[in-house]
Amino acid sequence: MKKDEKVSSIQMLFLLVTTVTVTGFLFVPSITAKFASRDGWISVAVGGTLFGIIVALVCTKLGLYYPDKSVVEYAPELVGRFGGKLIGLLYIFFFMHTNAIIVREFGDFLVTAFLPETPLLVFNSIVVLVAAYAVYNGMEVLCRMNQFLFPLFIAAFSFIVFLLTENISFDNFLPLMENGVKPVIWGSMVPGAWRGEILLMLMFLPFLNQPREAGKTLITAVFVIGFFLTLTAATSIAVFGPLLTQNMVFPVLELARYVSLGHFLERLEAVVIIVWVAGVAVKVAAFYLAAVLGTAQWLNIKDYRPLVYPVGIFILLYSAALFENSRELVDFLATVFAPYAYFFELIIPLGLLAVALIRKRGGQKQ
Amino acid sequence: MFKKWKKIIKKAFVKPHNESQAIGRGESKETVSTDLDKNMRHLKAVFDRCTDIIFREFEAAIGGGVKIAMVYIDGLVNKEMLTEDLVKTLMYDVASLNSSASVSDPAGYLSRRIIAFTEVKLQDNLLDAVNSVLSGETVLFVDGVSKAFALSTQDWVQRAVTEPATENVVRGPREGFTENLQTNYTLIRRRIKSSRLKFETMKIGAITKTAVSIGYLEGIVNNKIVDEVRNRLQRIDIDGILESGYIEEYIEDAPMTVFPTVQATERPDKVAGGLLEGQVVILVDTTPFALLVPVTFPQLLQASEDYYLRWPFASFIRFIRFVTLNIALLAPPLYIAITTYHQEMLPTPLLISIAAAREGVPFPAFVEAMLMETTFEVLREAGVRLPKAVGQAVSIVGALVIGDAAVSAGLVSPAMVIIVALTAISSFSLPSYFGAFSLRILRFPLMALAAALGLFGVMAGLLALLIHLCSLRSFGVPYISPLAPTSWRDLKDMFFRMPWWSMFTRPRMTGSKEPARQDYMQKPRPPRRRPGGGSGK
Repeated sequence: MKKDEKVSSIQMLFLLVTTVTVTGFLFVPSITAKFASRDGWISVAVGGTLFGIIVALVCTKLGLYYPDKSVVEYAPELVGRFGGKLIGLLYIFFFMHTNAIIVREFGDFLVTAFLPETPLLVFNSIVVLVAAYAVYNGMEVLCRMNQFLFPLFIAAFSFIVFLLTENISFDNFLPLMENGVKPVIWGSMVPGAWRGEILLMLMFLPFLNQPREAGKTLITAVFVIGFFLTLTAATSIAVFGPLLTQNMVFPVLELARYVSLGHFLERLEAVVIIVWVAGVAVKVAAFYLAAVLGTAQWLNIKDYRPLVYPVGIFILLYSAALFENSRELVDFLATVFAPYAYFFELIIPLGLLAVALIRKRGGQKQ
Repeated sequence: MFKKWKKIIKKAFVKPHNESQAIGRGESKETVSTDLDKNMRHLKAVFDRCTDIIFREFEAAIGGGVKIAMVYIDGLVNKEMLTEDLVKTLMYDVASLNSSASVSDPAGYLSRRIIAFTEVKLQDNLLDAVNSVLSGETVLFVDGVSKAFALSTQDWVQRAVTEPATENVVRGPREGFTENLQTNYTLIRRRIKSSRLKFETMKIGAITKTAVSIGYLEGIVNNKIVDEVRNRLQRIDIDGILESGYIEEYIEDAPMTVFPTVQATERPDKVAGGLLEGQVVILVDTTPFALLVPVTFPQLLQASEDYYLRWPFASFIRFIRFVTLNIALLAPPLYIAITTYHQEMLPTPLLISIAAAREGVPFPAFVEAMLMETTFEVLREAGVRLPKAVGQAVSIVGALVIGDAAVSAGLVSPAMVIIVALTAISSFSLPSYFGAFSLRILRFPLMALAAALGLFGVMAGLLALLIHLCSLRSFGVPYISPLAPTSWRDLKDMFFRMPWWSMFTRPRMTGSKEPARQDYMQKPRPPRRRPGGGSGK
């Protein structure tokens, strides 16, 4: 491994925020609105954040037993060679599978919204290629790239929200929780799963130059992500109302289309798409790196670079074969994805943490 | 994988030439003999068929007419000085000296009392003497003394210090480096009067023996960078160095990129500024271009004038420069992408006027753009190469062909002409000619991507470019460094140029050894009472 590569806490924070937010803000508003109607933003703000904090605490506690190893490396030490290797394999599969889903989301979105006559595989292969280049250059380069892009994301996001203020109607939020708490809890399942993607920290913790700050970084990340996702969900509900929001595939895109400034600045969805392409490249690269790193560690290979292209081809083909069409994708995200992700984000790490606590392994480096 | 090839290549290129062997044919280590004739025979053999080497033998007025010989290169020495100070002194004036019979150390006595030159080197080795002659010194042999005297008589025709050709300023010094290393030293030393300014010199080039000098400010510079520069320079093994460009290609961190990771500059004030920020300068004899390392991409977008203008103007110019950077790189690709794929993004009236202008143009936008951009690059290159007298003809032809005939013949649309003109002007507005080069090259692949995939292609290309920029380093410093990794205090000197009294620190990446560059609280404020206003009027 290139363990000599180190990134600062703030770089890791930015990377996690970009990774989670960039697909979240596209899909989460309409999915939560389906469950929680006009209270979707509460689901995102409260439920998702709570779940995120739990994942953050578990990941940190577990990771700090082995601050210079990733989950694929320390799982065999915790639960024995066979079980550990199995868990490692599961995680590698999870990263590849999730990545294939992300690539598919990306391609579907562009085909739907942007260039309807271009084959899906063109977009998928280009984003995988760009991500492969980033992964090949390593964690430091990925973080630096994201650090460069992050202010642009924030600027574009705030710009659109700011221009929409005249269209916001707070009446759309009322009445609060008219059907009780239950829909809100159900609605928070999906944003929770999204927030749980910070489990990338299980793989990236060894890169931190100050591993002690991992917990702080993760929890800050959860809150920052929560802020952006809540703002997105709330804006789309405030502008379109719950009914329209839950029937749209990409409410954010419609929001950007809605912006009109003096009949001069119009059709800002291009801004959304450009920013989004950049963000997804970062996200794909982050999951890609986790998958490649994991594979290399699982196979005890010193240098992960020879694995970059094989894994990339796997992700690419998998992304094309996963779903028949984009409705199926959204359906999967709304129903299957949450419990599936919870298994990897919370249940396995909790199990490992329990074992670690019982066996008091790692010599309590706190 | 390439080991076998390496071996084959090594065999094909046997280690060449060693100058000392070529000169002396094995006698290179020969020391200076007491026998003058023997020394001269040796030197004459070495300088066989070198018509520009002058041998002069005469008798001094001391020691009973001791025989003296001097060797120099015609044109590299100051002949008046030689005649007045050396030959005349030795032949006439020393006669008045009370030359006592025996001196225990004749060589030392001569250099102390008789040879009236500021710099005299005593040499034991004939090879050293040969090298001294070649570098413009006059070498003196005295019969019966087993030392050669190398006198610094260098004086050759030089270009005067003039205004640099590449980086012009409105406000700021007009001096530029010259081809002479000594002049360049003085240009820097005049600006930094500190004993901490060090220059280390080495000779690179087995045949040309070009003097290459590393300059830095001790205590400010990061010693690791200096060591790295020294190591990389010492590794160079080549027959000749004719320009600092040779050195640049040997010491780059990333040899396969279009971006320069070494900054070439003609301005001594820029070098002085770089030294104060902890950069290392490499001066090469016979070229007016000094190399500054490490350099970051944002630094290539900064002109030395930014620091001389008042900060609001400088900040404004910086901002304009970031705009032009984007135009120079992106205007043609965006034009292609939008007119080919995303017409809906344009406001309708604009779309109509562009469509009307493009009506009758026989090429797709991509071909049109390629045609015009290539034409422009050709014109630009022709403008640089042609003799000055013909240059005007080229610009007239260029203006007529590009600006008028192509449009009225219906080959290209006026909109395209505007785009090309905008791109050209923008790329000229970037202060680093060599940094702008990379943008000129990158424009073409981006245009191809725009033609193939529209805005998405441009974006993918830019992302790959960003990853590439992030992966570059210049002597260990990340190439886009104040931006990513972010250093907030260095951002004061990035998109804006904050007032001088607010930039307290040197850049983090190069100047961390002595970060403070000034005292706090220097913001000027008016005194409580106006000077001279106390008379109570």
